Amino acid sequence: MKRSPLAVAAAVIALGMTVSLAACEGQLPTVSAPTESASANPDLTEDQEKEMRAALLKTIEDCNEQKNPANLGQAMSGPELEIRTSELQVAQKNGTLDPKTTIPTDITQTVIPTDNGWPRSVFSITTTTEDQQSKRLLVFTQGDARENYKLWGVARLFQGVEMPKFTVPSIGSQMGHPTDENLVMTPEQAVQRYADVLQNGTKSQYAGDFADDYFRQDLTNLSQTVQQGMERNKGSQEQTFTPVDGQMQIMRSSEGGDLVVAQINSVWTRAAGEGRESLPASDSERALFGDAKATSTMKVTYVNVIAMYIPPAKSGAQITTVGAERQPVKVEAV
Amino acid sequence: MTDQEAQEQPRKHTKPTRRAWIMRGVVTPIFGLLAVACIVFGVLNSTVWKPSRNITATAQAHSTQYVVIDPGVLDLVDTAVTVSADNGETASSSGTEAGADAAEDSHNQQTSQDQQAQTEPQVCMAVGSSKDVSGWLAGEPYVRVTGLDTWQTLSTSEEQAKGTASTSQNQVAFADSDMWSQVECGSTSTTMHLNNAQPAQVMLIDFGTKAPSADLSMQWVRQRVPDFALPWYFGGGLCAVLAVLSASIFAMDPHARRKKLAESAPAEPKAAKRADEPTIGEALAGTFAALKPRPKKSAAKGTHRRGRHAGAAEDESGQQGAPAVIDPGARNIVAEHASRSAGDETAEHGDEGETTSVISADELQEYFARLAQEVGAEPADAPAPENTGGSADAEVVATETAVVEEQPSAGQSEGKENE
Repeated sequence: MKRSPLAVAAAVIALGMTVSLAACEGQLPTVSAPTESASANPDLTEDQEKEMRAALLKTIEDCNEQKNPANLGQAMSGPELEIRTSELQVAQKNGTLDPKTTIPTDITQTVIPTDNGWPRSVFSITTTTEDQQSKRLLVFTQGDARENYKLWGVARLFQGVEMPKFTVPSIGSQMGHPTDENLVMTPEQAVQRYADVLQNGTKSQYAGDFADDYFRQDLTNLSQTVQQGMERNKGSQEQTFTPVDGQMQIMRSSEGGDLVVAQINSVWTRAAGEGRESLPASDSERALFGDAKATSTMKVTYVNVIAMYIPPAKSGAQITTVGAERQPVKVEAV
Repeated sequence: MTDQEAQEQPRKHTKPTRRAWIMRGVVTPIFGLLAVACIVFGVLNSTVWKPSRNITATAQAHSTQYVVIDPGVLDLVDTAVTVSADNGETASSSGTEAGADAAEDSHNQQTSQDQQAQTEPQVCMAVGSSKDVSGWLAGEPYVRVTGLDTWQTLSTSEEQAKGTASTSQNQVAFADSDMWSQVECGSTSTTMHLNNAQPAQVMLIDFGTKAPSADLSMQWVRQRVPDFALPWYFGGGLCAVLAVLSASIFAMDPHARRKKLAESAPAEPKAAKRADEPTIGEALAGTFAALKPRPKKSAAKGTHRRGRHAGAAEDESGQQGAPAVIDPGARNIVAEHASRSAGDETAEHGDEGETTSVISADELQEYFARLAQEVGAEPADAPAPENTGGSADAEVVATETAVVEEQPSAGQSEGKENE
């Protein structure tokens, strides 16, 4: 008598459980809030950098082979685009590409920042070339989220130069700022003053701020040689150096200083005296000048890429130029 | 005895008690049913209702070009994930639609970009970091996948990315960007499988143009599936045990059960001893009494207790050869004084002193009176030894004896000292 209501109750309980427990998949996972470290990730992985660099170098290699700068814009920007365009034009005339244009495909180091915004840059240092030329400092920049990285600048590092240390690319570095006050001088000032030093040599008021370097020495030697020639025929020469606005890439080293790569344009005006013609001073200039009619005055525009290390303010050390590149881009008779 | 009980037992079986009837007729079936139900649920949970390893969650996005899968969603269920996106048009119908939908077609032809898009793959998905994805999306509206609403549906929200859209002349196609670590493209739909999705990874899906009704599905294969069957089996087992118990032991009259236990005991003397055993209530009371703080008691009869305590402790230490711990607070100064004054005499009372338990105030007063007399009569001629282990024993024994004032027994006390 009593069992049937019990059985009914049990059945009801069982049914209730069936409804509530049927096809349970477990607790729904929830998304945890993203951690802060997520935004501090390097902009590229080393693999991505390698892939990006390989693709760019391949495009450049194709242009080199064809000696045609038409497609260079896909892989280059900034001073390097001007320099390589000129180098290819020279190669078209001379038949061979200057060995200094070689860019090794292997790198010894890459510096990848963690910065969020654009433009961004990546610094990579290649190995020495097959013919034992010095290492190249490659600067890649990405101007916009919807653009790709392009080779912005190449500086040939001086032999035996000591490079600043950077944080490993898996952690990522920080890009510097042109008006960073925590350095012996701001990168902007440094580039301005170095241009002044290049122009005025030891007479520059800033000469003491910069350690002596090969680039400066070579320029001084060349300038003196030309000066001697000019003096013989009562001519004159003048070289002016001007930093290019906005063409500056900065990466902070782990020691607190900044590695700055900047474009400094220079115009070399040579006026021959005594009714003589002023002629190109090098093979490159000659190739660029071509068959144009020479006059008494020749104006040659150079693009210089300077890589310099600005130590932190508290160190009080001199600024060291670690690498440079120089190429005439325009030769005209005026 | 045994014969009599043997006769009683069958009589009990024939006439079940009310308790046995309830236990066997009501409680046992309930437990039995519960056990069966639990096991059935357990089996169901491990078979038909077993949580599925394959989790597929879908979402629909309307008139959007971009879908972003938030950081932490790709690896929400498992690190291995397959994401599929479909722009809502089948490959064949897209061709016919292009011809049929004149308005859309003319709109498409306005820009050369769309003509390119018709020939090239349209739907692309890429994995990148959230900062790169938000950079790409700057100024664009997009649909954001924020997680799971249910196990079958993805939760989405419509957003507008901050910033201004890129106006660069050098824009690259979505699939060609350097920023993505992985890209997949397809004409109308595409699928990407990630073996090891990271929490920081974000997926961006570009439908090429505003897809009127895009389908998105994410599929995970769970490596760890929650086991709901085991608790059921455990509960079932428990109910089964309870059912058996309620049909057997619990159904017996508590009195009869105890008797039966006593009977089943092998030896008579043990059974007799069982009767002497304290009841649970007594044992509990004893336990609680032991747990009560002592100072209350000692405050009432401090001197006696201390004296006894010290004696007991030092006895033990003397017997076990352990280092004697002397608690200065537990020393009976009066007794020590007495022992110094009447060294030999008191040592004789050793054994009796051990058995002293209660000393009344009267006895104490008597003792003090006599002590005063003794001290007055014979000044200490035999100073009590102090540093040896034997002396400690003697001292304590003296204390107890002096307090109790029992009959001395030289032989016993000697035996005690020899121990």
